Amino acid sequence: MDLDAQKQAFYELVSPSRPNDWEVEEVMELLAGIPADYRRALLAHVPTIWPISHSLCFSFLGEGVKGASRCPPELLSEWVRQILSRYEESGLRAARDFMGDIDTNFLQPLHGNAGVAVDAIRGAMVPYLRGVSGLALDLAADGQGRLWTDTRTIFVPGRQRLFAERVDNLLFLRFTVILQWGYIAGGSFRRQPDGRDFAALAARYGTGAGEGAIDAYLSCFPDPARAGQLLLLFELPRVFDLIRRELPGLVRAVQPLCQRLLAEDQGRCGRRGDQVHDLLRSILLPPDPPPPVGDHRLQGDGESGALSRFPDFYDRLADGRAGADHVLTLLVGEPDFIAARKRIEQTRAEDREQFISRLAGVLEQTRAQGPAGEKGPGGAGRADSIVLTAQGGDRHGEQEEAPGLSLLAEIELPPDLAAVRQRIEADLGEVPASYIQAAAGMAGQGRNLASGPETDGQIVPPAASFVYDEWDYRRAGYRKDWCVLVEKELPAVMTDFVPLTLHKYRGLKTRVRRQFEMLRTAHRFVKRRRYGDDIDFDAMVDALGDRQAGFAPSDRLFIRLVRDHRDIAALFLVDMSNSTEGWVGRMIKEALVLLCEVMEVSGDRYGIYGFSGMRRSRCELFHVKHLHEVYGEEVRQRIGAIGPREYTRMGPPIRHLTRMLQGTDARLRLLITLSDGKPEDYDGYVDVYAIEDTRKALVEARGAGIHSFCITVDQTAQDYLAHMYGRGNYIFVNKIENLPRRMTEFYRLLTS
Amino acid sequence: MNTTNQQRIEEHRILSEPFYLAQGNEVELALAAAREQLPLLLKGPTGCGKTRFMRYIAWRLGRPLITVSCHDDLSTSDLIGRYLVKGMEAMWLDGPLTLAVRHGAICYLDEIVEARKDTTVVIHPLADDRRELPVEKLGMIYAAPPEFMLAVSYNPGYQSVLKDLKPSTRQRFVSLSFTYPQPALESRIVMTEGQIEETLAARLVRLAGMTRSLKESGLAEGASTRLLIQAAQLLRQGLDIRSACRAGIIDSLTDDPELLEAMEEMVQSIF
Ligand SMILES: Nc1ncnc2c1ncn2[C@@H]1O[C@H](COP(=O)(O)OP(=O)(O)O)[C@@H](O)[C@H]1O
Ligand SMILES: [Mg+2]
Repeated sequence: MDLDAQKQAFYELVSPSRPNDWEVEEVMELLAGIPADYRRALLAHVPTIWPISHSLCFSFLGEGVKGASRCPPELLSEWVRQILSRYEESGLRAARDFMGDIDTNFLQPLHGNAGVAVDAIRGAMVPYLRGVSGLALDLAADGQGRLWTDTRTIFVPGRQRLFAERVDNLLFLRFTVILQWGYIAGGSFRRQPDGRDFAALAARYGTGAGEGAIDAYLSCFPDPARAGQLLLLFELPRVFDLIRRELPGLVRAVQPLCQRLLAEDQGRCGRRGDQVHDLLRSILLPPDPPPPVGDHRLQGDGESGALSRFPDFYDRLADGRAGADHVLTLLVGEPDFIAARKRIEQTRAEDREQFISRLAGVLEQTRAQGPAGEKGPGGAGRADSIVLTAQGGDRHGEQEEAPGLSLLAEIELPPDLAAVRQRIEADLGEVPASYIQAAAGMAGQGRNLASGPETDGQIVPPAASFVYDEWDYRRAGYRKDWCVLVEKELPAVMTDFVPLTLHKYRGLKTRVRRQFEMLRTAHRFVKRRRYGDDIDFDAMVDALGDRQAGFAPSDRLFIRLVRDHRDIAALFLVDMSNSTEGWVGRMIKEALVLLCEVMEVSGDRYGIYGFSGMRRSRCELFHVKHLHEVYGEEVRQRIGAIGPREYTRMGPPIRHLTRMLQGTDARLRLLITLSDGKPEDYDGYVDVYAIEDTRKALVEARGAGIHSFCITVDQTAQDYLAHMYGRGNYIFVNKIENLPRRMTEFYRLLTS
Repeated sequence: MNTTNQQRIEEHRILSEPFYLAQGNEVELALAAAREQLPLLLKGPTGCGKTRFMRYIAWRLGRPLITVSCHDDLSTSDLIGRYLVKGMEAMWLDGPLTLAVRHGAICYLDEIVEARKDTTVVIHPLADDRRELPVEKLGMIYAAPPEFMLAVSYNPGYQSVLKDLKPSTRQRFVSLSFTYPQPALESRIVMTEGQIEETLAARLVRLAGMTRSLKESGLAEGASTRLLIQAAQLLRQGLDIRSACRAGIIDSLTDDPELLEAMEEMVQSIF
């Protein structure tokens, strides 16, 4: 093969850019080594990849050459598609990692579905994890396929396919996740080595006698990464015991899988007497009967001295590198103690700040309500209250004798604050007195506390602006007061949009109006009416009795069958981002016109708002129709004025409308969102982050008793929809011209 | 007429000690409130023992307990009483509230916020220090004897708090907040009430605990003690653990498929 000609051909493929000569040369040399057909097939993808990223293109060719013997050319397009989507999602590095192992990342998933994709099972696994742990833990796929945790998120390989059966893969994944929780709950990442522990290492390995947290301690070992993993092994007996006690069913189910892994492992490395291997076997598959709980075997003696035996443990096992490490890594993963410590410190600082400012807010409020507060003694609810003593010392100060039943200095904590308090207690044992003093001080100074949602209303933000928290899935917590939402008016424009639309849909409108009229005919009996279809027997008896007793009897003696007052309040939230420009936007508006026309006959209360904005500091909500506003010319004009604007940050408007609906007393409260795809904003509100925040906002709405539904207009149904909106809570419209019909139909089905 | 009422009130007397395990100092508080003639406000999620607690208190005080489950069709006459016609004679029949006032009983309005506001106004003069009940149709104002006690309950979880209780009314009450009992206590309750063995009860309680931390994940209310007892009863009838938990607990909590799956897995893991 003529290298120069080949190079020339490449330059033509990528023209007009002019890549570095030796870089091209290097790749061409690689390409020269594979069959010409395959080479051509690979190069055919260069025009697609090159404009997206030059580096990605070179990596693609390099990895493509390596994969030539395994990946049939007809699968190359699919491979490229997946590479690009990986690149767009998570960048060059992730795409390279993906390409790096064509077997596990591409071919196997393609050929067998036994594997378990984390993204597909998060929906059920996260509630499982949170329920079991009682902690706000999260689950995420790790880009490099590692298993580890920073103590708030547990990272797992994006795909689990150790076993031939899907159930087994799922089970094993569940178990490894629970093991990580075990290490978190068991305090492995919070160990505090003392001076003696460090001194022991100094004596052994000649490292300077240091101090610090567990990560500093581990860094004194010759191989810190290995030491970290071995520490988890060292603690495995204790953690495993904890899990066996809490979740015996899980352990019973997973033991055969562990057995299989260990057996395979033994088969592979073919040698007996590997210490790690034997140790794992003895911990995970204890002989019958199981040793009594509390037999910690290799583990140190008790909490304080626990680390003293670890250096021996390390020295004994660190060298037997081959073999069972594989199983060990599958089970306990590759811990990152530094990340964990940083996360713990960060959480602690955040909790402290949040606790102090929220508690100060609560104190302030309590004081404003008068000294007696409104609460009686806390009774059984101690978990939700905290006793404020002057010194902030012991939690249950002397309680006054009951007869006075006067106020104990107990303050009921709102649930979110109680949750923070619990976290702090889990972390530090108890809430430090200094926190409470700080809060009391803050409240005393009457400082404005821009903290919790409850205080927002009182801090007079600039006119009609509202502050909302935002969910950050990466740290499984809210970013407090993160977004500012402003209510705005749409300029009324004179347009014949509405009459034209009405003309266009006159047939449909008549039909749908009839259906909506039917909606009203849910019947219900009301009693004690002045007139009606039937005699109200109860009222009659009352009246007879009254008359006999000499009272003027009531004349409300009838039962009436009424068309039920449906008592529904529905808010429609309309995407006004720039992606709705053109056809999509027009159809959305037409759908709204039709909707209003027919909503009028349903008798339901409804409101319409548009939203857009840019960055978290400027989320905008546009008023089209308030809940109680009459549908008239002005509303029509505002619908006409709806037009594409900026970005789609969905969380804040959803939270805002949720709050609005909470203020109504309707029996059924609906929030219906109409959008054209993924939520996204300029400042990093994209992809998983945006999806998770939107999902969270909808979950909050549901928690507040509001039924939320979404209508998405898009070319193809994206797989994140079910996760974001919740299965069954959305419809997907891909023929945009059907939107007006589908939307009204959807509303009708929802409410009947 | 007095005799019928006398008979009626006797039906409400609690003759044997109800099984009740205290969560904290709620019993002392309630007894103190009774001595001071203060009304009680019990709040807490459904099925956590409020009704049982009232039965127990009534037994301790040796007073009859009249319970009214509130709903939005409840009328004032339903509470106060009405005339009935017998033969050609009008006969007054006390409603539960009047009955309780006249006989020094405890009147317990369960889930009070379910009743309409115009119905619940009648409790106001009873709740404050007037302690009296005007009965218009009889032209009477009954003064409540010291033994009369008013108790109301509501579930803060699914009603926006205080919405229907005027602050002025609310502040008359001694509030007792109930949460689900501590695990050890709850296990004993489930074990006793459901008549199952201890480890099984403890595991049911553990399951409940897990479901209760799913608020953030969209589960409005976790499994109540009542549901646990229900599952225990199914178990006692010979159902297997999965079916008993599924039918007795999980399916009653949600329809969301992901949450259902998560809770099924919890059952599998625990048992
Ligand atoms: N502290 C307790 N002691 C004994 N039984 C209890 C206790 N708490 C709950 N229970 C059991 O739970 C069941 C449901 O409680 P209940 O009083 O009906 O709840 P609520 O009135 O709060 O909805 C009771 O029937 C009882 O069996
Ligand atoms: Mg009850």
